[in-house]
Amino acid sequence: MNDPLARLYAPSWTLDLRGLKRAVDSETVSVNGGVDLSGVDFVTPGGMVGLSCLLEKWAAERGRVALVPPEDEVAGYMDRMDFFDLLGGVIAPTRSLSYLGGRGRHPASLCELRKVEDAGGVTHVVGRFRNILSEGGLRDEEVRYCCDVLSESLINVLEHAESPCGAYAAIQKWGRRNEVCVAVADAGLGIPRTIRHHPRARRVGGADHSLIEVATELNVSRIWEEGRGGGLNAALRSVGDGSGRLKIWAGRGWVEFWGVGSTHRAERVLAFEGTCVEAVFPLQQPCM
Amino acid sequence: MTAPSKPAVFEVLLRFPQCTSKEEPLATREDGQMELSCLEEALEAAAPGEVVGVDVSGVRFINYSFSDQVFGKLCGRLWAGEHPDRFIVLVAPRQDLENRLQDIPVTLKNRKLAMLCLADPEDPSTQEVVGELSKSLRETLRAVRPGDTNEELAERLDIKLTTCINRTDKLSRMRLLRKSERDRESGHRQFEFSPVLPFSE
Repeated sequence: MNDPLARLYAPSWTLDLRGLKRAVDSETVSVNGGVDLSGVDFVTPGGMVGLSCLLEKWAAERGRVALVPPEDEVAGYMDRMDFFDLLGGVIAPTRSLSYLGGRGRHPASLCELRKVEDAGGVTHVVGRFRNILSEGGLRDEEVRYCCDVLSESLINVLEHAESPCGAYAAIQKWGRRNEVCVAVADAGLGIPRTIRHHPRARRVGGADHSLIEVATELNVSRIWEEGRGGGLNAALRSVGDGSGRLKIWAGRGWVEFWGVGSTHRAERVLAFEGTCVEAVFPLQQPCM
Repeated sequence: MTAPSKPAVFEVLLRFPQCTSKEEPLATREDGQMELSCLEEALEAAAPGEVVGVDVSGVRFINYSFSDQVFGKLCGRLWAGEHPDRFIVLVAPRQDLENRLQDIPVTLKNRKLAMLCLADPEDPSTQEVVGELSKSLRETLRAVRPGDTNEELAERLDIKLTTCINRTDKLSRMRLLRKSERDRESGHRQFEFSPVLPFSE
């Protein structure tokens, strides 16, 4: 993969949530063959957090996972996001990356990847991301939409997912497209398994994508207690208020939402052992 | 805990949050539980009949889970009869409750409960109800004059006495209305009702 000619003809791909799904499907990213990121030309929060959780899970099962890094520009960007530090204990890069030193340039002007393992971490990370987004020039309500998705998704991981590695959260602002993206993933039970026994889940059958849709309804929760089951619905409401879109990949379900009650699409895909949530919001004004 | 102050219409006015820095995002049920305990302590410390105001206008970020843990649970406990004869009122501008603080009314609606809210803590005429309250209960609440009995209120609203009793019972359980027992000279129990905040025409 380091041969310049091979690189020239290698298909490039974006490590976003959809790209990660395709990579798992094609075994570019697999538990046995390791992870080949040599063709990656761009990374997004959904791809980063999803891949981080897969790596954690596979490493727990079989030891360190071999990883072919992307070319320097993208690898430098991932290094700047602390990807290689956070995952240092679970990956075995096929080449040394110590020379990068976070120097890579990347079109995304604002980015952050963090690991969260307890409630204090949720408050810390949401506060940090909020400050980064505010300082990045987003309007107050745009920051609030992002923080709603981040905080409610992270709380769901801690309260329901039983994820051995906790959660990964990431944000990114795309200057050219004038959009902001937030994502959270875990390597736990996955949304469908957490609500499979809820009475409202029974009426939709057992398909994972249907169970994800049910999980976004009010009062549907793994914990049967009054007031529970509103977090994901609140996140979805923020997506609608902010004219954003939300993707959820959990188990064999893949669902895309455009706010509460709006058009969505569901399809059966390969299983993700855990849950990935990615939201993208358009920004009203071009900002720093 | 921030020292409580005493404005014109409340016995106590608390700045919210009490235990957490208001600069921090109010995002987890764990932090919400601490705030709930603080508010319940304040209610316990209040004398019977007193009103505790909770000023949420300085909150920068609060999500659904935190709101439910504090305001959803607190109103649920008041409805269940805890902290008898104590009242709690939110203080926040209306536009904040529709935007930045919107998860507070949402969590109340989700539990089919409601709270009184004042836009201006010095002006009872700025009060409104946030959360879930039916049109008939809102009409009944607006019609109550200090010292009204169910009979008087039923006559004013032109509704059956049993309907009126049901409505005043719900409103007083939600602590949107004061309920007290009248002297029993005639030998039967009779209740009278008053608005929670000073009455204004």
